[in-house]
Amino acid sequence: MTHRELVDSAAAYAMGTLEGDERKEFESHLPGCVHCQEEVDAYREAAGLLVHVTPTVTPPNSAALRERILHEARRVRPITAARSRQPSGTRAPWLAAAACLTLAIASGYLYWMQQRANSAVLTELATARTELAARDSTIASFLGPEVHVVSLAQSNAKPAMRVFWNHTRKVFIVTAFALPAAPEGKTYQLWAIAEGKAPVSMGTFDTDENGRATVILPVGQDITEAGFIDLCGLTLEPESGSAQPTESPRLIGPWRHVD
Amino acid sequence: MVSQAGEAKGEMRPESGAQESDAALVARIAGGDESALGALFDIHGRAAYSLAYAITGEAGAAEKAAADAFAELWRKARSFDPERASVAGWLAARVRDYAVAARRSNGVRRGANAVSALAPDFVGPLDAEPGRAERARMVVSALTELPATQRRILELAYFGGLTTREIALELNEPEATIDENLRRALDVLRLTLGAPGARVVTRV
Repeated sequence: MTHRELVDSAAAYAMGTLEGDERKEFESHLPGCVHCQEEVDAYREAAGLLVHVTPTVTPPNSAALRERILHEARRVRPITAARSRQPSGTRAPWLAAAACLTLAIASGYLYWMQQRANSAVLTELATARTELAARDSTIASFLGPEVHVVSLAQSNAKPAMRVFWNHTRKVFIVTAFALPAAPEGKTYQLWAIAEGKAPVSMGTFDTDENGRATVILPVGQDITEAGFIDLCGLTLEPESGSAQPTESPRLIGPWRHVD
Repeated sequence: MVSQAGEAKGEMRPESGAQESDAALVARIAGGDESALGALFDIHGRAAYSLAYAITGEAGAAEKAAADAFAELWRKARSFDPERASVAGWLAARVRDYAVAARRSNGVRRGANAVSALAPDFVGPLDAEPGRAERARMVVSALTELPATQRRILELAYFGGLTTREIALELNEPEATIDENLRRALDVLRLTLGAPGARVVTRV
């Protein structure tokens, strides 16, 4: 395998889905490659996030489980295990340089990943998805019909932000990834726009110096009761927000279903 | 050596100045302090058990997987490197591996109907803990971005412990497609790790 292919195997290795010769090849490569080690670590960490959407169950006897663990601990003393990663001092200089490069391209990488994820929606498995819909997981039941999304971009540019509208939870989840921080004394404001009606404020938010934000905004009664909302618009307003937009939208996009 | 400095990534619990950081607890564990292990169990025990239960579907096997993961942390605390993983992330990975091994050895039927772990009722219990709820929202937001196929592959791999070949058979897709989609799904979750903390903002 080329190094690119090896790097691409890191996710499958981290999840334990990689098998046979591919697994052996990756395992023999891993000890000598800090980049692939970091990829595996990052994928493991990312997969661990799924614990947050796992149904919470209380152990039948939590105290007994706690005692079982402590009992085992009293039996075995902690050991010093060999570090699997080389100490940083012994890393080859080019590896350190590669690590810096990784940091330097991180922002570009995020956009690229976003693009890669998005293109998947359009290009693949149309028929398989229809088949799968019938036996899709429970998650679809709350992510699918009840969630709308809007991508906001300048014409012919990459999206600068997305807004998810979860109707069940009555929240907007605002994720901005390339929206320059608002000038001093100004704030970004989102608007629910329905044809023939005045725009209704969805709330205000600001991005950090990297142009990013993740913000939860409650969906107001006035929006819930407004009926069909066609569009979502973004304007720059005085920092206390405005009752009605003071400029035409800088970004605007139509709401669509997630799936 | 375990560093006590620095906040661990991917916290499972709300930030609280009153509680010791996970990394500090692991440092104490490395020194043989049982009470620190107990404290870590009090923080992460329920999430660990819940994850194990989602995978094994059986209380005894779930308890064993959770206990084995904490025991392993006890043994390996001195080599735990907070630069490489958060304590929560490390525990989740170990619990998941033990639970998947149990699932396989128990001959649990692996397949579409047997794997449906992502919570439809996440709103309730997670909202009880504000910090965890915030994180959960961001994870849900990330999962929302995934095509249904990718979510399914993620579930079959993570909760089902299926290999690429098995998922390919299950979904009737080439193995390369499975690997590619699994990576894309995890890449989206990785974005969530790097995202700034979610804030609740008062509506105008």
